[in-house]
Amino acid sequence: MTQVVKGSHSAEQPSQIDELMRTMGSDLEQGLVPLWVYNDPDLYRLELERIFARNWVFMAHESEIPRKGDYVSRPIGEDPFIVVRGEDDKIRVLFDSCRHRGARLCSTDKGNARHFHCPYHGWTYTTTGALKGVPNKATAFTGLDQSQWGLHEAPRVDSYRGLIFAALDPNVMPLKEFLGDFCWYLDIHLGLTEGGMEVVGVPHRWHIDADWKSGSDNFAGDSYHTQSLHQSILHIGLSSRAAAGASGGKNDIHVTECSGHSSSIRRKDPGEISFWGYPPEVYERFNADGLTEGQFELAKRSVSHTGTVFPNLSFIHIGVTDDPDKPMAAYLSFRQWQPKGPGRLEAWSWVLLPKEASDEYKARAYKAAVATFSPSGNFEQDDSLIWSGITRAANSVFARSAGLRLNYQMGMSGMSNADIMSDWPGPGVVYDTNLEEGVQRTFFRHWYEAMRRGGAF
Amino acid sequence: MGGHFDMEKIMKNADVGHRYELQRRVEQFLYKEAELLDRWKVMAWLDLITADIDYRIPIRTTLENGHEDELFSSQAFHMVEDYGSLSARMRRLDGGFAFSESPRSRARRHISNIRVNSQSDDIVEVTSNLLFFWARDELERLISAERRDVLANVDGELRLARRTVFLDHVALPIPNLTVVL
Repeated sequence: MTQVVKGSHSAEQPSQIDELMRTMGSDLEQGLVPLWVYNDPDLYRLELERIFARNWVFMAHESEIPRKGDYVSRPIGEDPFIVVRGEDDKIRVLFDSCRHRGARLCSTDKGNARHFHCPYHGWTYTTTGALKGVPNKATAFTGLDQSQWGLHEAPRVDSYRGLIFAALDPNVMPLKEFLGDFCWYLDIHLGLTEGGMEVVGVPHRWHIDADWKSGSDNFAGDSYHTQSLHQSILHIGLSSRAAAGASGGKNDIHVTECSGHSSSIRRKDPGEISFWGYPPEVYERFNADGLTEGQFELAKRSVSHTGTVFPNLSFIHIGVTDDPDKPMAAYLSFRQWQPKGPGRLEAWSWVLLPKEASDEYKARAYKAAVATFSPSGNFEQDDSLIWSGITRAANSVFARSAGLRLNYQMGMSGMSNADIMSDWPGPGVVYDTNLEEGVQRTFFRHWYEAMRRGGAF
Repeated sequence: MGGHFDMEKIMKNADVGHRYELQRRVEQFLYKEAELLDRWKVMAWLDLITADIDYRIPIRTTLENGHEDELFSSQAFHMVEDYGSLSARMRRLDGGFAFSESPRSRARRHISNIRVNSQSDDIVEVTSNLLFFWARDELERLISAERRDVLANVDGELRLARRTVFLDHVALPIPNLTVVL
């Protein structure tokens, strides 16, 4: 896609970004988001610096690298890293660039390595990142202190219930604090069984001509779009109306302002057992030991959850089918919207299932996942083109010259009857309806704060 | 030699003729199949597959040399389909509510390098190359792949019984995969 380079940072004329940083706070209070934030080269570059290089970013699931030496190649923003379980069993996130000339060390997506070897001049590093071999060292690099020339690495790496995160800012808050209150909701998805959730195979990856924020925005809790965009799913019977039909049901709720993260939850009536649609053979193995009573009660009533962990990790936990003549099967999908240039993203999606589930169930649920949320997913097929349309309009001169703003006002005063649930057992500001857009305003408020931090605004 | 039949030569010619005929039938089948899909006659395409079809597009990863057997996942797929799930997909596309194909994308399948390996007339193994052109709105993309099919002879007609699509891509270069390759 051809990009028109806009905006200039000159002293006389404040850039559009300076203006955005001054005005977006009040825009958000009115439920408005400038359209052009969805596609702009200067803003994109700033996002890489201020969001992806300064916050915790999801890297991999521990079940993807179970053995010493196992590694996967993964980006932080657009920067290349190797997530590796070292020979000391510690997980590190190494910068994929030789210390000598900067060449790429790892041209594979995954594998098991004893060392990382640079093909350019032959420098070799251990799986802990230490520089181990320098050809002709005795004559060519006599005085080289190898201990000073190990691979650069992300200064902060931590895991939460199997999810590995890394941060490039050494001063970032602890991961537990970054995920904060939202752990209460993540626990429900990841802590159902003693063995936890594990990834099936390798992730889906596909390119979408859309801004990464569209994915985060949608999964933060766009409960409003299913009845319109995804109506074909209901027509052919791949999903129940309860899981993905019209929004506004009496058991549908929105979790907003939960440490910057948000979630949309659909439930059955109190007392009903749903567990997303896992069959008894699976949910009978769920135990409440690692969860509070409130968490387990919510799991029991759950029909579907979507959510976004700021900045670009989303999830969906749902029971659906690939064929209306076969039973629904539940699965959890984590997905990441990797930035790939202004107006471009690479979607990654991992299907996770309870470790204890039978192989038959896993195969069945994986099939249901592919048929619904994957590049060929009957749901997901429809979303990507919509997001491309947003990106196209956001790149326009008109969006900037006329100051076009998008409507994020649902749930605000005078728009819909969204009331905060005072008796909700969990954290966050939780609304008693999913006909509200506080979930998405949460994402943009957090985005705005992250973009302002460290800037001269 | 006049007046004598060289049975060996006749049998050999007949065999060659038979193999040419089979090659021609397979090619015509694949071209017909591609035409139906290119023209979005997706419900008619269902008539070309067997009830026990196994259709899959395994996810490819880039691995170190020596791991060629593991390049295509045995667990993870862009599509992993049986007749019921394919039928549901086609009904969705045909039903008028599938936004991703409203309007239809512009797609064309270029099938080439068709190699036929047959032990009998009833089960025919076919390998072919696929270049799939896809366009929607201002986006235009190509997908390249090798397809390994098993065609079954059902009441004298060839039917697709098994297809595995081996992509030349690690990340799919298109925003969605709405229909079979």
